Amino acid sequence: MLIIRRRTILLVIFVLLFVISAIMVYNERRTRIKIGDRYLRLNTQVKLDPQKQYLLELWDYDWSLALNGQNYQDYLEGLIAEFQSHYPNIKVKLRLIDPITAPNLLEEALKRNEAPDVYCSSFTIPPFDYRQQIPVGPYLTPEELRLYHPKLLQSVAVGEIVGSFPRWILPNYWVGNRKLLEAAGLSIEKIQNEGWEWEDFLQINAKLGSENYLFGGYLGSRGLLNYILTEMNAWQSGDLADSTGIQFIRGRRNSDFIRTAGDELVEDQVEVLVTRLEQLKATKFSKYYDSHMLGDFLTGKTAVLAGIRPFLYNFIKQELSNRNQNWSPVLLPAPKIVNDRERQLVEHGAVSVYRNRKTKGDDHLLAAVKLGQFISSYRNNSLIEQLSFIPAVAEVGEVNSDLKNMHQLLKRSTLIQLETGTHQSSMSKVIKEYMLGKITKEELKGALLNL
Amino acid sequence: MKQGMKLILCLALIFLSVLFGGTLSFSIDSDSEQELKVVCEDAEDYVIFEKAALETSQVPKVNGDLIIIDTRRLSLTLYRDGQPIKKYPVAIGTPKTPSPIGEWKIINKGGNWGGGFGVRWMGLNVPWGIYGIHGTNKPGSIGHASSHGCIRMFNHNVLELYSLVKVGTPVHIVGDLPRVTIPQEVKRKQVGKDVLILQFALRKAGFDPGPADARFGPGMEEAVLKLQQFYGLEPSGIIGLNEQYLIKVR
Repeated sequence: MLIIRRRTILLVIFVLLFVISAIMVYNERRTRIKIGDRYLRLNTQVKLDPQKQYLLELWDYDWSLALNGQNYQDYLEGLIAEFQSHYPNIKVKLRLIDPITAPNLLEEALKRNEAPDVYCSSFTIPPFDYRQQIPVGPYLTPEELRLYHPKLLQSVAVGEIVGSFPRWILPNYWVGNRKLLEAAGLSIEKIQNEGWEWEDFLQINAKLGSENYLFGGYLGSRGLLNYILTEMNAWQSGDLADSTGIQFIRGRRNSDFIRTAGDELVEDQVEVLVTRLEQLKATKFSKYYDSHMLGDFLTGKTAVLAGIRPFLYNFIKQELSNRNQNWSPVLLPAPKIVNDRERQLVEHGAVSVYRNRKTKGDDHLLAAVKLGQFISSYRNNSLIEQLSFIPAVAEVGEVNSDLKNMHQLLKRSTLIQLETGTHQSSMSKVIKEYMLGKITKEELKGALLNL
Repeated sequence: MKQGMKLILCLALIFLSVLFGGTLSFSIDSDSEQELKVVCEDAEDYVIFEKAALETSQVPKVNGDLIIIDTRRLSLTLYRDGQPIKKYPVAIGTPKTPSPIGEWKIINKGGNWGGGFGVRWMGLNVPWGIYGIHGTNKPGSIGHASSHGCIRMFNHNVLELYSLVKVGTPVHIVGDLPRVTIPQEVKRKQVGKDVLILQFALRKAGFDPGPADARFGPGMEEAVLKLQQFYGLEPSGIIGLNEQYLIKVR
């Protein structure tokens, strides 16, 4: 028979009380944070231990491809060296990853609890991972948060909390041929400063009056057609952007892009959409626009390219300077397609912080947050100019006029997160069939209402 | 007498021109290459000229064996784990029947066939004809551009090389790329010199399609998809005009 002495019982109670109070003290130091519909405890008051060596793993994309021969790794190593001059006991292990396969790499690493401490995304903000991701907002003071563009802070927010650091945005640029647009009687400066109407856009074709002068970029995944579809979607979602200035029309990768955000299109929306498409079709629409898009623009046959990535814009600038053309490309806002609101499709680069199996304590997480903060607010105008990205810091420094214009535009526009899948949506397919003359207007209407 | 001297001089000149010029231009060796079958589709209005002549002479770092045939220096070098271990003089194709520039591999090895093939044969996976590395019965042609496209070696050299390499060994023939017309659309399963040019151009643009073997396979398609996704074009895996501008073959 087991005899438990009173002294033993007292000892056990004492130990239990000690453990419970230790846990309570430990938790007391951790702030309870509501993120989305969940709660998280973070010790945001922790300090870095100057005697401790921290080793952080950083993943970033190799942007060398977009840098015209410059080595992005050199730039990053310079950035890390500067960071280490502020935090000499934080070592950074850099891994450059492929921009296309990176989201899958991160997903796999998260499954194995081996995500990097700091991850820089290129085109989209990774969905917040409640198990391993550390929201960065609670670590920052209001002054530090004010450094970033408020719209972009919104873009990385999970509920009320800033989940990641915004780094930069990649606008889906509209590019015009200055010479042709001015020949069509349009003022570039007016368009850039005040925006332009759908009718202005349509009239380029009428005013130029030549078969050579065409629009480009109709049907691509980020071209004019996608703009119209996205605008329809934004309109349909009730212009949620009123209060925040940023709008999310996000779908899962490979999902049916246009249908993810809202309900089915109703009759009056279909009417507007079909009218826009009919107006477009009445221009000299050609199924070759997309496949000849670059060549036609470079040779001065196209007035406007609708919706291209910054790298393509940089490529065009470079090619035109090599070809000694007597005209220059200009960045334009998208015309107001559905109503009088200016909207701009953008992609986002963000910096996220994760815990993983190698994380050693709250101070390790703080070190990762410090690195993420340093990367996201690091100002290198020459890199920004070369990439033609818009930095997330609220005020841009001395950058070229192109980027200044875009920065102004982004301030006044509603930003729509562009997330393209790798296949066409069913709506997009139907519209292409109409544009290519395979189905009639009535058939298009019917198909849109019954999708 | 003077006329006799002139006649002798003329005969001597003819003899000399046949001896040297003939080696370079008129020698017909007995290589068994088939007539060059060039897969070169007709484009509408675009022709590639000197832009296509990309630099291919850099030695890639590979583990294991790699043969590099430099058509400018008329040499064949065997690399093992990135280090040159053997170097031989070779004869290459004439300007009219050039050796196939590209990144091939040895697909078969043959014994002593004799005649123009010399004592050994190592066949390459060139898709537009039968090409290989072999010996010769015309040792005087080594060091010249004189074959129908095959790589000719001295018999004692080819014997040694034959014993050193296996089927599957990569063989990179470097030099000036052929001038070809690129069609407006190039897609998977297509084969030819145009595909070869696009492979080199894709690699130069930073999107590695794998070996430049003139075959549009899955590796090349993946590279095209990456290019399209990077620049934000429709990810079709097909090289159209936009992609050709981006990799600077137009």
